[in-house]
Amino acid sequence: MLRLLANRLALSVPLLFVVSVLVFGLASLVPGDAARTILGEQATPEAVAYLRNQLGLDQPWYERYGSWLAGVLHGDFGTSILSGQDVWTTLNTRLGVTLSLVLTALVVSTVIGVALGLVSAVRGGVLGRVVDVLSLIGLALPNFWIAIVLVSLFAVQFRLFPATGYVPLTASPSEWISSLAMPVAALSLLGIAIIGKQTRDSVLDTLGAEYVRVLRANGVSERRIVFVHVLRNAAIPIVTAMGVVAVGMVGGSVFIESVFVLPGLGSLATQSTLDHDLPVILGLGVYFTMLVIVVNVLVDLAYGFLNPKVRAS
Amino acid sequence: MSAEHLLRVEQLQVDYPAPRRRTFRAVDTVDLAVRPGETLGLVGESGSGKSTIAKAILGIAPVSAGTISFDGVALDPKRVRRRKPVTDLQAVFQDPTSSLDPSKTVGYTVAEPLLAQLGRERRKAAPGEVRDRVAAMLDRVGLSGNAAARYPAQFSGGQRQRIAIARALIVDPRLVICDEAVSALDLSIQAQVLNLLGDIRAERGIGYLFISHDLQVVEHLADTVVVLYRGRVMESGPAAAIHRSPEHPYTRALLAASPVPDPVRQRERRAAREVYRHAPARADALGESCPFRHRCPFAVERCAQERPVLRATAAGTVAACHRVGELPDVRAVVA
Amino acid sequence: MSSGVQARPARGGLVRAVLRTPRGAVAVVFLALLTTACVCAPLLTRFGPLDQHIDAVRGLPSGTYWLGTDVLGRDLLSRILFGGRSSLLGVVEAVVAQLLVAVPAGLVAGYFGGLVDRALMRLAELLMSIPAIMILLAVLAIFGNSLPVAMIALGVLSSGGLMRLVRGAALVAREELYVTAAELMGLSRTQVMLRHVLGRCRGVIIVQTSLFAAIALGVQTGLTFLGLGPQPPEPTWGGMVAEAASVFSQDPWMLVPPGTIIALTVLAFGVLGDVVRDATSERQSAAGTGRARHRTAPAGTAAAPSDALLSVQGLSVAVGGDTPLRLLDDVSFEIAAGEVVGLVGESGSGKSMTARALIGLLPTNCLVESGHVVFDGKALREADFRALRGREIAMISQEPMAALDPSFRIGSLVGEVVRTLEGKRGKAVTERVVELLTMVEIPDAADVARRYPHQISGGMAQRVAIAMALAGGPRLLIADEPTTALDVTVQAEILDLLRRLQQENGMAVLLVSHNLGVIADMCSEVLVLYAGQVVEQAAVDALFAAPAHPYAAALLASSPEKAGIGQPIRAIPGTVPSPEDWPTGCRFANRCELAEPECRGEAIPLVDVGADHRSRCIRIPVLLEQEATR
Repeated sequence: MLRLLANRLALSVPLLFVVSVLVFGLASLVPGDAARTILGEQATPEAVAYLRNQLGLDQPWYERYGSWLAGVLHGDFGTSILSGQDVWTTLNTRLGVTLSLVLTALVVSTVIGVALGLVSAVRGGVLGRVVDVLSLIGLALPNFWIAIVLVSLFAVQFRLFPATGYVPLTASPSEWISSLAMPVAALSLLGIAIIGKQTRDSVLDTLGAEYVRVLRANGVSERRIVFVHVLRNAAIPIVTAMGVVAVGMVGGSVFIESVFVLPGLGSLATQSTLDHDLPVILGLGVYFTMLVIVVNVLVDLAYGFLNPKVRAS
Repeated sequence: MSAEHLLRVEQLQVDYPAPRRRTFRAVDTVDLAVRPGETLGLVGESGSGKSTIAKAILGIAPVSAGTISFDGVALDPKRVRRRKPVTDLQAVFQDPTSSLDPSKTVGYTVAEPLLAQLGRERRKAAPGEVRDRVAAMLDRVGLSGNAAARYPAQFSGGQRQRIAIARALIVDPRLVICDEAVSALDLSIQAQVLNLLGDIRAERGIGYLFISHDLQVVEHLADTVVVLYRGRVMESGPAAAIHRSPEHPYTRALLAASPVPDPVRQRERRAAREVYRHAPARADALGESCPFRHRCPFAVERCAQERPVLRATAAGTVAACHRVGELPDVRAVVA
Repeated sequence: MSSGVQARPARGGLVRAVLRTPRGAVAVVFLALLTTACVCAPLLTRFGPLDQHIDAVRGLPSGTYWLGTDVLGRDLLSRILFGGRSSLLGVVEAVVAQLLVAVPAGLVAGYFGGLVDRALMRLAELLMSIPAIMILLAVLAIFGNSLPVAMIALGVLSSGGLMRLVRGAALVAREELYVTAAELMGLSRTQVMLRHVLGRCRGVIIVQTSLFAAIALGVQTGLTFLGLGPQPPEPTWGGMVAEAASVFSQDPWMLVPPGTIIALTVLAFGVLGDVVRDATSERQSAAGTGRARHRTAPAGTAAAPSDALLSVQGLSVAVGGDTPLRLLDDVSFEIAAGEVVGLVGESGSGKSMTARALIGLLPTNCLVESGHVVFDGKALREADFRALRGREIAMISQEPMAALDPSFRIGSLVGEVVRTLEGKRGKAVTERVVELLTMVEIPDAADVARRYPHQISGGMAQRVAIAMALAGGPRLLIADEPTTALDVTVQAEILDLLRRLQQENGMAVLLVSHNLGVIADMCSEVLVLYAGQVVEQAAVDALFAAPAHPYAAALLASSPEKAGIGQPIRAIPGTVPSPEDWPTGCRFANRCELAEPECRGEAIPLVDVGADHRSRCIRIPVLLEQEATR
């Protein structure tokens, strides 16, 4: 178990390295750069050259990478080319929004997905088919499309929630909830579909297991069988699905935050991509990778907790 | 090295990696020899190393010491999966589902070894030759003419085992390794396949290395029987001698434990088994001692200190037991 | 050998298998039509995707504009078909990139193993930890909004998952005996990989590819929705959603066509993946929904009274829904208190099905068509079984390792049964657990109670299962092939244990086995099952000494030890007919050397041949005469 975690963490160092080299390497492949973006097409070559020199863009890419890496190791991710703000500070201030969104959506997806999947597997019949249809819809409709429909229905038509914007939890819990309600709903639908489907499949598999038949034969109640034995054994694939969903939601936040104009990491990613703001993109790459690593470590910990064989080794 | 032996295994040792950087010795200094046309039976329980020996001979187990020679030529056991194939040596495995590729027709499956052999010899088959030989082979193992065009899933377990036998025999081998080849089959089907193996042996003069956990099945088909326990040979000898008068306590325990399909005789055997009942102690690591001693009712101090060598017994077998000749009469068990 | 119904694995013609299901056919046809329409868009559309019609802005569907128009009066149908080109092309780019990276790498890793495997799996793990969307955004920023580059990058970055799955499938295939057989023929490793291993991975590749196509389409539309990739006025599906979003409160219709086409296409890919998975997986599809349905006989036709502890009366069980296939046909027998009854038969005889019916635990797709199970004078319905299980009737199963929940310690598994059946709490439970484990002769019971199932041997696991079954002091124990998975010396120990416990507790046992030796060792009464019917029922000595049914006689004769060493065995020719081929007459007639034309006519009744001896045969005198001379 400890070895597994150590492995995971040992892998995160080369991972972060690879991601940053990838972004840097790609950037050096193409002509044109931030200097031209900032100054516009009409700028004189002299002005561009001057700015390039100011930004250090005239050095070879590996030297620039080296100085960037040296900075990172000291906690300095550089400054945004456009806004001039410190990248690390910007990222940290925006993290709260994205975490609120993703964690809430993950909890919602898990609770609803597991409940639906369980009911569908144990009860079957019509209810099972309803769950199937729901999960198909969740899988098929893109979250940004759902987001737009939600906005126009609940914000524009019924005026239940604000269409856009974000209120921090510390400022007002109730407004925090109403500002997140629709983004969370839009982001959760796919998660509910994936977790629900996985729950259904693994619960059905487990219900067919020999030990379930033996427990029944020994008179153990159906309720205990389902909630203690089946759920426990079905949990491993469900946790795997949760990990996949969490990583997917971090990516999905890019679209959702754009629609709802939430000041999180996702909208920052879109904006800096459109602006070719490389220091920010690099910082985001590292940041997102670290988030994925955290999710993976949590999933591994859950495996260790759930599977005695993993725990023993 | 005697040339009269088709297959000769000497001092074979196989070690598998085990957790915590240790190794597990699956086969420990085993000697075997099969003459042309002879059937050697290997019998033992799970963990006895019987299938590992087959794998070592076929070149798919990590041999750590010993030699294996076929037809007088030493096979390189260390270069697992990379040595030149020996057409004269073929195999039939236990699981009739897993041993046939579900996505290939039976005709292709049976033809494949032949095509591989022709390919190696850079020889073109005459038109229709492969097809005719496959059809003849399928006919010989008792499958109907249209079997070649069908898929394995359309056959029962017994029929699939016949297909596997056809695939082994198509290149006219001299020795076929049958690893638990009838164990997954129902009794009535097992009898059919055993008869088929017996008939083919009589027709073609081939030999078998026949591996099974079932002493009765092995005794039925084999000329010579080797009894294995925890990777070591406990006893070996002519099938009739092992059947009539097993001398090693383990062979006797094995025989006493297998129930006879006859209530009267079984009651006698059960009573006789009381002698061989022994609350097993924890199995120690294999060392220079008898591997069976923790389950042996006749174990003495010497059994823990000295590894018994194979010694000739009065019954005409050889047994690795310090107490050979000192044990009680065996008739009650084999009754 | 266990459950009567075996799912046949898929064979050749996967395409046909997919098209045969309605869902698969619809998905394939939809994708084919969509692709054709997008490719031939210039021929199919009346207006160009950029043509503006000032007279018809924000139009609803009409004869001219089938799907309506947008804010600039552009035809939505035309924009969808032209926009689909970049979407579908993007999907193809991503999918091809993923396949090119993942399939060779996965195959090599799984089949070759070793160092190559470890290196490639590290790579896969690395790829799976990279936040793909982030890198895509970076790629788009760097490559000037080039969507093809982004989609190829998506394919490469997402290849970790497929690589792992292909490796997993190749790893399984490597263990298949047919792969070993191919290696032994001297085929090169590349040949083996392409001929035998790749085929095994085909299913997982297709499934993952279609699911990934759905994801790729989602990403492509998402990126175009954000304004990345082709710039306006070029039509893209995501871009159309974005355009519609700005005027959504006034003109909700504009959102419908692009949303629908995206949803339908994603669905089609998803459904295709599901259908292929179902077609290639060997999992029993029947394990689906629904519970066992019991069509118990109406209340009026009450069961005949019986003194026996358990009496089975005319039990018939069938599998499947619309046209049920009968697996068990009019089975009747009795078990007296304290008696050990053997149920013997080969695969497909219905013996496991009978055992499961007696405890009310038939597989979900099977149902009792007629007949009763009478326990202690009372005909049982489904609810009654629940109350009896563990307390009156208990079961031990064929695979001891699978019978114990792997997530719990032995002590808590046994303890749960103790709590349920005896209502004990706290320390009393622990004490009772140790007592039960000691009863089944487990040395060091307290230590074993702390272990997990994977830490004990098969023989030990079967002892634990017996302890659990006996916790409630049942009067009937159903033992379904309790020693089949065990070594012969362990089998003898377990049988001895069962015999001792049976005698001490005076409980009745139904012992299901294919092993005639085990039956001879344990039972006083024997039932022989063949093709879903009881063909003979007798006291154990009578059956083995003078079998009165040709099948029973032939089965006894086919033991290898009955034949002399080197002599052929008296084998039974042919195979057991499968349930769909059961004849009306004698089901054994085609394999029977005594069969006459009459045997193939009417159904053969079970008749008395002596005291407590019955046989389903009309040639008994001939058989007895023949057996006597043998």
